[in-house]
Amino acid sequence: MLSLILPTYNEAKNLPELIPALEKVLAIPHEIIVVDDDSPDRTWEVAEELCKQYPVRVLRRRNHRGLSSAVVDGFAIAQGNVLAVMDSDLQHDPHILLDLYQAIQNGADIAVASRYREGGSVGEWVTGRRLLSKAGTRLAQWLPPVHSSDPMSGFFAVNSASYDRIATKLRPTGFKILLEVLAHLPPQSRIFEVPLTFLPRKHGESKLNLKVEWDFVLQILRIAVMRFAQTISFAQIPLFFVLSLIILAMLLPKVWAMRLLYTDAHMRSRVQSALTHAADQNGWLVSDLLVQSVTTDHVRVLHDEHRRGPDVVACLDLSLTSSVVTPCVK
Amino acid sequence: MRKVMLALWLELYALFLAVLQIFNGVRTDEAKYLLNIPYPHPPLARAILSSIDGWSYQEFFWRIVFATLLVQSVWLLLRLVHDLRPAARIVVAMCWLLGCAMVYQAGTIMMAPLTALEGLVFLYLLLRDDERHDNAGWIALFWILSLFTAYQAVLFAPAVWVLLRRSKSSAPLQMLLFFIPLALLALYTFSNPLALASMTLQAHKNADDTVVMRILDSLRVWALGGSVVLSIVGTYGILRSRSFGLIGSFVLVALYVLLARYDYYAILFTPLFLAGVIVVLRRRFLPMLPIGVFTVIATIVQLALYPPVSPPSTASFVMQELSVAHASGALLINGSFGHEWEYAGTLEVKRYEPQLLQTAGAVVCLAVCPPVFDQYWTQVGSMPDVFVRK
Repeated sequence: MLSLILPTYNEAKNLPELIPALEKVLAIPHEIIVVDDDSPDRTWEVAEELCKQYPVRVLRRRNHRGLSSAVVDGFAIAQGNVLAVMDSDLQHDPHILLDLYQAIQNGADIAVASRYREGGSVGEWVTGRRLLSKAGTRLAQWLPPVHSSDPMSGFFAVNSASYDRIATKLRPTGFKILLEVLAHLPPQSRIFEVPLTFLPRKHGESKLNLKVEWDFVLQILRIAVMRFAQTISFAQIPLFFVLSLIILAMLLPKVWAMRLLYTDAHMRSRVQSALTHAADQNGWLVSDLLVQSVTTDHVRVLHDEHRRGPDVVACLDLSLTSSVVTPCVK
Repeated sequence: MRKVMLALWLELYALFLAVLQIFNGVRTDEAKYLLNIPYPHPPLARAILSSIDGWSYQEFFWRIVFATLLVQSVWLLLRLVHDLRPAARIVVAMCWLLGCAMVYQAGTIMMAPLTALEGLVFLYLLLRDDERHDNAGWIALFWILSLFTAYQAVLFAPAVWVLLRRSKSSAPLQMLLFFIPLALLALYTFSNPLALASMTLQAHKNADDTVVMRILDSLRVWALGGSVVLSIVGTYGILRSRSFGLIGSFVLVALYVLLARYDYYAILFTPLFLAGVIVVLRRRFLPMLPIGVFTVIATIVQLALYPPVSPPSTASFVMQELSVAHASGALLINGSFGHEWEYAGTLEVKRYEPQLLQTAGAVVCLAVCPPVFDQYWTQVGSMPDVFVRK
């Protein structure tokens, strides 16, 4: 069964045209879920009216806003084995849904209606928006492990089993839910693309604004970081062992140089006496001393006059027999 | 954009907490880390902190960094509770940001807040999901870095253990990833015998206290950790969680606090309490609004009774006066003193010993002054206990 999610915000005029058009096309088992973000034009009310005639369910979200999260919420209550999403502004051709559905039934994990595939087009967009979309697409194309010619498309279908495996990992912010899904699908996922030509908008206005673009930039950055971490994740265990070996190589000689302290209780008390005596004689703070090595006749320490800026550090040998303090002899 | 604004407000709050601590001046433990004095903690954090110790704004800079890390870490908690109702999310964030431990500790340059932050990261990973993951290496790297920041990170070992066990790595590899960092830390301890000695000394401090005193002191620290209400609800949540990682870490922190009952360890409890609250919230309803309100009230009462700002040590003032008096050579201090004296100036600081008087440049008496100051010495300004060589 196909579950089609229609995320809406102020689409009250478009829905009464879209749903009958979909019903004409969809000669397959299906359900339509309208996820409305409590539109001021009461789109949800219009959708509820349509429920009486068509297999439509309505999810009205009062505390949430955002296209991506609306799609995720819709997917969460969908019952079909093919989950699809399309815009509700009549710019997506409903006939393409059948191709997307068929692609998933034929074994694809995800099927995308692409504006940048041969035969597809962005339609009547002005040059500025056309360039912006192209640039955004280029930027987003190389990021996900599953490559699409149009990762920013809002018209796609996904196998519900493939989706369920990644659902908890998604961060549905902003408008680009397909990019998010592509970023989380495993690299071996099968993708199918269908050309899409954008139709002109009939009612309402575009939701593209500065905030949407900002969210997109943040999403790109987040996915880039995630992908980088994934890319270098093979190095995590070797990195751990290399770091451990470096620390071991630094510490082992130091511990070896002090082995007498831990093997001979008598040496411990002699070293303690020598340190205390030297500290008392010179007014040193014990915390300024760092033991370097212990031999049968002396203990070598670094005396560091801790202070702001460069410290004055002296290497000293404290005799264990005569209480004499002398500079270190190399 | 709303998140950016929230982050900016949080940063202002962090700045406020950092400034609050400026008035306290640098305390002995803070000076220890700022000057990279090698006791008792391992070197990672203190080496980084001291790398800019010649810079005049070192103290302020690190206070801001510490406060920022702690305050902005609220985003981790918010991610953990993103599927809960908004009121619950706000209260969880409030409990972290406005709890006693945070207000008292966030701007201090101490290892306890840093360890609490590391603990929060481990608990975040623990509570995020139950799925098997393939991040064992990253967790082990963070584990080793945490341990080499401060010994107390070991208190969160049960959480780390559960996280590693949950990974897709083989069991022997999981064991290696868990135990190698601990073994290296033990090796570091043996390479620095005076660290071992200083820890033994600390452990024997207040050894004469009765069991009742110990328990009461520990209860005070426990209460501070969650501003009482969160402590109670959080502990309940921890005990109900049936999570070895959470309960084990809580028990270790509680035992540690029973040994070393300093108020600044309260913040080690805070991430655990919040984790406990989140565990409960995921299963059943909790009246979060009263919890939030009582947490804030408890913090306000605590702040009123024990203001977070106390008079700073005289070290900085005395060192300035000695600088004005052109003191040079070693400064001898008679009586018990802390590392803030070393931090406050550029003179070499020594303990007062009579035989060193001849070569010293200045003397400060924090205990009763020995009657040895002759015509070669003069008092500094109006301070009767500070002398400089003429």
